[in-house]
Amino acid sequence: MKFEHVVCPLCGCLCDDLELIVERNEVISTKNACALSRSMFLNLNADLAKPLIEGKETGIEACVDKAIGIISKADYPLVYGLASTESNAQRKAVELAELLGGAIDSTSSICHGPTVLGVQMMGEVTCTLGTIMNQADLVVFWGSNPVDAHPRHLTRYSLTPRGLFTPRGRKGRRMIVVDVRETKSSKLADRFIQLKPGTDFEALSSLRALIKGEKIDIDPELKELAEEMKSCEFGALLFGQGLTMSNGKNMNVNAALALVRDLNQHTKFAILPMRGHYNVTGADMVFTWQTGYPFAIDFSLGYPRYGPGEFSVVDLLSRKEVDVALIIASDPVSSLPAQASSYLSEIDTIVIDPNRSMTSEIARVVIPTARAGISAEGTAYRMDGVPIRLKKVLKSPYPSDYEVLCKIVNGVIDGRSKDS
Amino acid sequence: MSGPVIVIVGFILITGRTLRQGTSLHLGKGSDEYRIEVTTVELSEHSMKKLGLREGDKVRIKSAHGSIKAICRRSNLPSEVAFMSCGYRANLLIGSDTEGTGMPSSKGIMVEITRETEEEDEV
Amino acid sequence: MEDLKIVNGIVYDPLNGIDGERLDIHVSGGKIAERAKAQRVIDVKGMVVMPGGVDIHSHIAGPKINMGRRLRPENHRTAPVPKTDVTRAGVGGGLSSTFVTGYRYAAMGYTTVMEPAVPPLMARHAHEELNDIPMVDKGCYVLMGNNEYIISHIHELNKVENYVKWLLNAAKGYAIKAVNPCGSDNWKWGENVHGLGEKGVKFDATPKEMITTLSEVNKRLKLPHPLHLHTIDLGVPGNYETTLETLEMLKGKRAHLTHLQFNCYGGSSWKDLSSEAGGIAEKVNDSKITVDSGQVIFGDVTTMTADAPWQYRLYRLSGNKWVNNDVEVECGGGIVPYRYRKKNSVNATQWAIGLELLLMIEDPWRVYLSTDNPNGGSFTSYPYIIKLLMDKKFRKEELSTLHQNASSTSLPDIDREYTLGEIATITRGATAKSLGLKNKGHLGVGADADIAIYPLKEDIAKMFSKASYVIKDGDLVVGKGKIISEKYGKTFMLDFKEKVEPDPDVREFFKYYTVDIENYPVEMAYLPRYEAIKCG
Repeated sequence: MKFEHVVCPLCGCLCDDLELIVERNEVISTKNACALSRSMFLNLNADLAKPLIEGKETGIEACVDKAIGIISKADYPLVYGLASTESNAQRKAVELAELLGGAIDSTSSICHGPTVLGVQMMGEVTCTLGTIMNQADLVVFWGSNPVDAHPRHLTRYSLTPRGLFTPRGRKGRRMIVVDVRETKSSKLADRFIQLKPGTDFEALSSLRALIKGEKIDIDPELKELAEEMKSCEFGALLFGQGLTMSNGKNMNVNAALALVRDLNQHTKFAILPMRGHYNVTGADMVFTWQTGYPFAIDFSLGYPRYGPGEFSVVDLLSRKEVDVALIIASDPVSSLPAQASSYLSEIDTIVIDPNRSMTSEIARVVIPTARAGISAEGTAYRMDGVPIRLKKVLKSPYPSDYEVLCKIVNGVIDGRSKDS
Repeated sequence: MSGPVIVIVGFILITGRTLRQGTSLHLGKGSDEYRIEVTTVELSEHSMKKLGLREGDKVRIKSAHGSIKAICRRSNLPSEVAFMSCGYRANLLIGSDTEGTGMPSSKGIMVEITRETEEEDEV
Repeated sequence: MEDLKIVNGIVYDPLNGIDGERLDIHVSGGKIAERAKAQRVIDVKGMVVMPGGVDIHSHIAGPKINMGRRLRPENHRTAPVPKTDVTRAGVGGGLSSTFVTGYRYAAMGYTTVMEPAVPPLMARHAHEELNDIPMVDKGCYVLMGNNEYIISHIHELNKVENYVKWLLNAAKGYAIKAVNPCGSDNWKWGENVHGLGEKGVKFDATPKEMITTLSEVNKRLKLPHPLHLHTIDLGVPGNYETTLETLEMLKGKRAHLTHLQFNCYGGSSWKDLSSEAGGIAEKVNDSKITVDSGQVIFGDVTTMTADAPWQYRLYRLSGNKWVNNDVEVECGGGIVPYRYRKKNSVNATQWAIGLELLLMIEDPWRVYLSTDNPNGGSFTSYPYIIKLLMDKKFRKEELSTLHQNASSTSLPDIDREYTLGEIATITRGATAKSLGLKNKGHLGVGADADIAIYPLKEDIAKMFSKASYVIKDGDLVVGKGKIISEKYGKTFMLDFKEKVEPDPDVREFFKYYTVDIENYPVEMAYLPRYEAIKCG
C-alpha cells in the first residue's frame, strides 16, 4: 500500500513529501526520505518497547495501573520529554503536571532553551523556511551542521531550491558556515570561517559593532563577513547547538539576535534556530499557550511558575528534587549528563515510549505506545512554527501517548475522589 | 629513568550530532553501530602523533566530571579540539551545572586525553 | 442541559427592540424557548439581563499571540492564576494563557469571541489554541491582504474569488481579513506602502486594488461578515487623509474598518499629532461602513499586528524588544511591548480619539467596542470603557488627569452618555448582526441560550466586570459571580454550497510554499464542535 505526502516524524525539518510503501504493516521502501529518515522508517520494529514492570513483561493495562499508583503517591513528580510526540499528548501532559502539582519540562531545556531565553530578552527577527527559499541570497550557518543533523534542509529550504524570487537556486545564493571545526556542511560552503571554541560571543558582537559602523581591529575574515551580511538582499542566520551549548549559552544567542536585528537597518535579515526534534517546537507552543511559559515549568503552588535552571530537567535531577519521573517519548539517560540522568535509576521512573531506550532499561514501569507520526495522528510544529498534521501509516497494538496519558489523568482523578 | 612516557594532552571537547549516530540510532541504542559511533573520539593528525596513536587505538578521556574510554579516529580538526558524537558516553564527561539556564555545558569542555595502555576488553 | 427560567430581570435585547423591560427568559435544549418546563428558576430581580457578549475583534489564539506570550514571561509573572476545583491554572496579564482567556471573558458575560488575524499556513495552530479556550464560541478571520497569489492575480477576479473560497475553507476561517494591504508584503523587502495607489516593490498590485478586489469577492461569495480591514498608514501622524480616502473608496460597499482610532490622526509628526475623529465619524455616519473603536487603555500592553512595517517603526520609537515574522507567500507580522502613558501627548490623544469615535458615530449598530486586544489594552478593560461611555462625569474626570492635548480634541465638549440598550448594541446585538450570526447577540426564541446577567451597580465598571450569572448554551456556567462549571464552545466556519477545489493555478503556486497542498487544508479533526454558517 502506498502512502503519499507523509510527514516525517524525526527532525525539525518536518518534511511532508515522503512516500512510503507499506506491506504487512511494515514500511518496505521510502521515497524522498533522507538517510536518517530512511533508517528510521525501515527499522521501525527494530527495538520496540514491551510492557514491563520492574523488568518483567506483563500486560499494558497492568503497567498503566502501576504507573497511576506510583504517580498518585508522588510528592513532587517530573513530567519530561515530549519533543517526539504530538500536540494532544503534550496538552495532556501539562494537564497531568498541573493536576499533580509537579514540574514539566521538554527537551528544549537541553537544546534550544537558551534560544528561548535569548528571545525573551531581545525579541527575534525571523521568517518561515519558505521565505528563505523564496528570497534569501545569503545563508549563514553558525554552529550548525545541517548535512548531518538536518539532511534535507539545504535542498528543501535553504540552499538549492528555486523560489519565487530566487530562480537561480544554488547559483543565486552564497552559503557561509561558521564553526569551530570542519564539517560536511562547511565543505559545501562558499566560505568557511573557523572560530576558536568559545569565541562565538566575541565574533557575533564584533560583527554587530561593524554593522553599526564602529571601527574595530579584528580578523579581516569577520570584516568581510560583516560586509557580505550588510549588502545582501535577504540574509538568513541559521544557528544550532554551537551557540546554545557553548560557553555563554543564551548570551551567545542574544548576540546573534541583536546582530540580526541591527542588520535590519541595512537590509532584510532573519534568524532561525535549527531545532532538533520534530516536535520540540510544538512542546514550546503548547506549554506557552496553556501556561504562558515554554519549558521548565513548576505547578507546585497551583499555578505555573517559570524557572530555567530551577525547574529544568538537568537541575531537578542533579539536585535530586523529584521523587517520580514520567518520561514521555524521550531518552534522558542517553542525552543528559550522567550526573543528572543517574538519579533516574534511584527513583521511580516511568517511561512512555514506542521504543526501547536506555531510560526504559532502568525504568520501574515501561508503557509501550503507538508512535506519533507512524501509528498515531496529531499535530507537529516545524522548526519555524509551521504546524502540520502527522499521518498514521502503520497499525500498532498499543494505545497512543495521548491515550495513555488520558488514562493516567483519569486514574489519578478517580483515585483522589475515592480517597476523599 | 625507566618505564614508558605517558603523554597527557589537554583538549577542548566538542560534542555534536553525526549522520552515523543518527542513522544507527534507529537500529537501537544497544546496536553495535550506534555504540561504536558514540564511543569514538575524533582527533587531528597532529594530536594523534603527539599522543602516539594510530587509527582505532583506545584512549582515556578525563574531564572534571568523569572519565571514559573511547576509540580514536583521525579527522580534520584544529589541534586543540577533540570531537565526539553526542550520546551516553560523552555525557559521562559533561557536568550538570547549567549556570541557571537549564542547559548543561555540552560543548567546549576541557578534557585530558591519554593513550589507554591497560589491557581491557571492549571499550 | 436542563430547562431554565430566568425571572424578574430587566432585559436589554436591542435586536428584538427590548430596551429595559421586565421579562422572563425561558431556556430549553440549549436555546431560548417560548416556554420552558423549568426545573430550575433563577430569580434575578433588580439585575440586568443581556445576550452574552460577542467580541468581534480580539487577538486570543494563534502564532502571533503565542509568540507574544513566549516573549513576555515578565508580564505573566505579575498575574499568576491558580487552578480551582472547576478551572485550570494559567497566567493573566495582557497576554493571558488560553484557559484564563476563556474564564475572563465568561466573567464579563461574553460568550462569543472572534480571533481576527490568522495566516492560513498556520491556521491549524490557531484552531488548536481556540480549542483550549473554554466558555466561548469562536471563529477566526483569515489574512489575505498580502497574499502573493492574490497579489499576482489581482486583475483576475474569478481566479481570486475561487482562491479565496478555497482558502477560507482550507483555513476553516470565517471572514476575509486584510491588514496593511500590500504593505506587509512590501516589508519582505524592507519597504511599506504610503498611498492607496502605490505599487509594490516586486508586484504591481496597489492597496486600492487589493481592498476593492477583496470587497468584491466578499460580495460575490455572499460571506456573512464584510471585508474586515486594517487599512494602510495605521499609527502614522496625518493618516486621517488615507482613512478618508479609504472610506471614499468603499462608498456604497460593505466593509468593516477595524480599530479605527489608530487611523484618525491629524498633524505631521508626533509633536503635533491631533485628532481627526470628527471628520472620520462624519464620513462613517454618511456611509454603510461599520467600525470598531480600538480604544487605548493606559498601562502596559503588547502590540501585535500583521502590520509588520508599523511594528518595526514602533520598535524604533520605543527601543523595546521586537519580534518580526515574515510568513512565506502570505503575510508578515510583528510584536513590540509598549506602555500607554497618561502624560504622553500622543497616548492621551489616542485615548480621546477612541472615545470620540464611539460617541460621535451616531448609529450604535455601526460602531463596536474594542481595544484591539492586546494592542490598545486588555479585553478586561471593556467595563472601564463602558463606564466612560455611560458616565460623562467620570469621563471628564479621567480626561483631566491626562496630558492637555487630549482636551484639544472634541471630547471635552461631548455630553452624550450611552444607555444600557446602546451598550448592549455595541457589545453584542450589533456585533452578532455584523457577523451574520443569527442565533447570537439576542434573546429571541431560537437563539442560542447565551445569557449574561449583571448586578445593577452604581459603578458601571464593577457591574460589567463581574456578571452574576452567565448561561452558555443553556448551561449555567457562572453563578453568584463565580465560574461554577467549565464547558467548551464551538467554532464557526463557513458552509459553501458546493465542494471547494483549488484551481490548477493555485496548485502551481504551491511550489512557492514549503508544505504540500495536500497537507495544507485544516482537517475537521481541529473543529471538534462546530457550526457551519451558510454563505448567501
